Amino acid sequence: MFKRMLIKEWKEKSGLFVFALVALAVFVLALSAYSKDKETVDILASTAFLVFLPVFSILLGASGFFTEFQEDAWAYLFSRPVKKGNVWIAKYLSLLTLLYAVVLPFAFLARLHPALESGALSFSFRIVGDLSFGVLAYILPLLLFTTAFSFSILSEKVYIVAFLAASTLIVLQIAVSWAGILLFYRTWSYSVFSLVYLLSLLIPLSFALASLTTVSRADFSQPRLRSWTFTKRSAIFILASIVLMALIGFVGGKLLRERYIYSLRARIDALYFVTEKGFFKFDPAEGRTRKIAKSPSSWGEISMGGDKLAYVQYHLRVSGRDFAGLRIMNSDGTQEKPLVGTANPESPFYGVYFDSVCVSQGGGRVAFIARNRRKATPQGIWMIKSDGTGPRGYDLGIPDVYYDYILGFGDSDRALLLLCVARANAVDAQGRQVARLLRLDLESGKAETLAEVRRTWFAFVPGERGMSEAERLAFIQYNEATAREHLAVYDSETREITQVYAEESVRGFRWNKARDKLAFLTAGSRLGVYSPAEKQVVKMAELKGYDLRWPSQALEWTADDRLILRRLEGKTSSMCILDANLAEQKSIKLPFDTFYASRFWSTGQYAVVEDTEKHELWGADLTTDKWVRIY
Amino acid sequence: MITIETSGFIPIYEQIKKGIKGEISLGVLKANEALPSIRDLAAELVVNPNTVARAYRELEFEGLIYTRKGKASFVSENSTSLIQRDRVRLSEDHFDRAIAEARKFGLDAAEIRRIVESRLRYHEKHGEGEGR
Amino acid sequence: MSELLKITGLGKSFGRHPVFEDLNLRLSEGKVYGLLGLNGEGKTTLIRILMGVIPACKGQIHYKDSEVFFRSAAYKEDVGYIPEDPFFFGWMKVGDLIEFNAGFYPRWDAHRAADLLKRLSLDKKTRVKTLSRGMKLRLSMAVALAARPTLLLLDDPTSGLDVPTRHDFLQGIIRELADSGTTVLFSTHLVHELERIVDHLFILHRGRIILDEGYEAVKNSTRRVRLAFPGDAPQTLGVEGLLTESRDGQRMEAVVYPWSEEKEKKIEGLSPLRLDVEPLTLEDIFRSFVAG
Repeated sequence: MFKRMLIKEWKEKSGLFVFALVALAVFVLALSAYSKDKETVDILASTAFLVFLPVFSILLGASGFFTEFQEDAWAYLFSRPVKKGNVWIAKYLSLLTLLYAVVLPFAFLARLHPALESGALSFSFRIVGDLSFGVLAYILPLLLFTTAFSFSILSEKVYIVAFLAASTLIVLQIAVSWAGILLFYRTWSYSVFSLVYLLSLLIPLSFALASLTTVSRADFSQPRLRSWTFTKRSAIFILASIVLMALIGFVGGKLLRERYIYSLRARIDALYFVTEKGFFKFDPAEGRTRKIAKSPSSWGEISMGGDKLAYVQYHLRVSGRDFAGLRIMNSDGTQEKPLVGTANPESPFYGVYFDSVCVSQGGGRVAFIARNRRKATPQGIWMIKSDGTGPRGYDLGIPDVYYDYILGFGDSDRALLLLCVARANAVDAQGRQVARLLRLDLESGKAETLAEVRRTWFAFVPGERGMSEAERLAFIQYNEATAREHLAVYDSETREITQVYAEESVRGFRWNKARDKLAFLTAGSRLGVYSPAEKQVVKMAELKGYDLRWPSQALEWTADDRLILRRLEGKTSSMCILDANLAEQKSIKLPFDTFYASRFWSTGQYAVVEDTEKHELWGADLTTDKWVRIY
Repeated sequence: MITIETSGFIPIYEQIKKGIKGEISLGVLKANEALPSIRDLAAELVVNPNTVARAYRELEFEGLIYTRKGKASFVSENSTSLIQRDRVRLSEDHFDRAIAEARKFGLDAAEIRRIVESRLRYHEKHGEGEGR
Repeated sequence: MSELLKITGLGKSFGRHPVFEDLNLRLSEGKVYGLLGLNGEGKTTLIRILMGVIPACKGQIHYKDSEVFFRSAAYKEDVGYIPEDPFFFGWMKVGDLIEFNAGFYPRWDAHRAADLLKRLSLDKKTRVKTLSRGMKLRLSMAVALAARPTLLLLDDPTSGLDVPTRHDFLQGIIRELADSGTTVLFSTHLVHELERIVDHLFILHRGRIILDEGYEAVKNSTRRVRLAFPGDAPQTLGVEGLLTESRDGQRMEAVVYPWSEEKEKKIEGLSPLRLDVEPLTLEDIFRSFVAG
């Protein structure tokens, strides 16, 4: 039976096939003729694969049941001793072979013709994006053909069917893709897109199943009933596909949200961190991790002050725009509420992104920078009370500002310390960012420049940003007059800047928990400790054998004022604890192998390190030297 | 030739029987001659073969034909005389009916006899055949 | 004779318009069944349902004691179908169509097909769409018979064709009947032609089978009575089975089924001046049945 159906279908569609062959011949000739002209070749290839083949696939599919509609020939076919479902299948497969008899020559030609570079085809159409050639050439015609063929049982008017099928498919594709993007913003997982692709395949399949079952079960002689049955079944199958995808996505929970640790705050008494699963708190006294709040769908930083935790959340609205929201909660996860929203067109914060969010030491205020590229003034500095009242904007009075960072609250929360980068000469000869240290008085709104600063691009020194404890601030000061730089400390109470170390370039520094000792690494691999109380460098040591690749991250203090450095031997990293004389006291091997220089944090008696490949957090109890997996 | 008409009220198998009997008595079908097969006769007359089969069955039952080898049917030896006897009987039936009708009109035996005689003379004069 | 086809409780509606609701039919092997009915009352629909072209809304169909469904295909290998004004795939040639069908029927007899084509004067190379209606009919017959069917469903195949064509067609069917004992369900308007070959009658009227009887039995038990009364004719004859009844002053005419002696006596009891009882042609019988 199948062989005869094949012959029948091929004979019926022979005209269409000949037309396609002619088009192929034209394509080949044109390619050969214009093989040198890259632009024309590009247009030819685009036309062939983005216009001709899709249209051909749709028309071939839409004409699937055309002859059967002629004078009720379908009744003749259905009265043969053959299952009606098999008729559908035989027809489908027969026309499919015809389709690929056209598609494959085109595809092979595209690979083999000297005019088109083998493999790398670049189309000028933007829509294609990163669709691979394989998908475009082999899968797209299949999807279009299947959908159009499924619709062809509805009517003999081929062009109407083609239009209906194409537009339905496009609409559904857009809906699915858009839903995928929405889901992505909820989950920040790229695996979502795999599900989207899979669903895109299931949609034509759903139509095919609906079409097949309509033919084999419904009364073909009643057009309305036929259409209604087909529509109903399509909807059911598509719904089932969506449910199936959702099930796969959620049951295979890992699939949807990739494991990631977004942001971390180490305090003396606890470690707070945000992952794709939510907000967590590690209590060193208990040695336990607890989840304190649900997933924020954000990838922003968290900032803490007093007993408050502020974070930025992103969510996608129906209109397709994503909006940020600043939210606040207690450090035990209670009283989670919004602080500043950006979706209200009336609000001055409409459409802004939050940056440099900083909670005051007492936890009573939150400062942030609101950036909105669309506005004339692209950024503004704001401060708002933790209960959401009393928002106040500040203008630094500096023209042509490129970027600001809030470093923290100072002077008992009466001022903000900021770094401000002017647009002009943002980078110096060594590639470091040129900035000024500013003090903004929160009462009067006046800003004063404290010093010139040099810093490494986007590499925030731990403690440099987002910390509320900015009573004392360390930075690389640049002396315009001498054209030299040195490590300096600013005391926000006395408003004094003290020079700390000028012999060498300082590449990284770190305050201890009490903020009464500053450790720094020099360009010459020397480690120094400065005491602001004594106003001098109290210790200095040569470092050998340590991993100092990212000096700004290489240092950390334990809670009891010992320094941690890292050693890398091959793939094995160790955490090295230095004593008060900067001599290595002990070295604890990391519980995982990694080449990457990840940071250390410390909380309580623990030193914490992140496995950036597996996205796990490990803490070493320094009293027992035992590792505990925090996350 | 056997002709079948359906708008008359004589069953088709009866008409077939009559037709065959007619052909036998006319000598068109001779003794021991083969009758057309059921299939052929049915096709020729455009009637249901079952009907032909029934006619043949009844004819066989009446002894007018016999079947050899289960397939072909042939005219019996004594068919002519059987038909003869049949015809007399049939005519007697007809006459019985005619007499009954005449009696209903109130005619007596003498008048009936007169009518028969006069009709016979009439038919002789006008030279019609013996009728079929 | 065994039961070939049994239809029980068949119902079909098109949208809100019901065609039949509780149809029951039985076909025994080897007989010729006539299906009579007015135009548009469901004969074609019934046959289409039997051929699995469209589904019934309810009821069961059994072929040789096993139930067949809309999706069933195997039983159709035994069934030949000759519809009214058949359309095949016009672009095909006669030979193509024969080839095409050969693939569907396991008992396809290619010799027979060739034979039939020759006998029916059909050329393999002719394009189907150029065939006249008469030739298309012959082609349908060739296709149907070449598959050596056990059951033949004929849906008014000869309407609109001339007498010689119809004659030839019937002959062909008769030969098939005689050779193979095929069961035939013949739906037609041409009642007088049906009379010659039918064994058993069905009349489909207003969605129901109102007559399901052997042809002879019907013919023998349907009578037209004509009466003349001394005074005005009575309102009704008052017997059961009055298919039609009409009064005109002193005269009265009725068709009665089934006729019986009791009924004759009862009517005589009305003291008519004249009482004529006559049989009817099948055509008139049919008209009487569907008059009500």
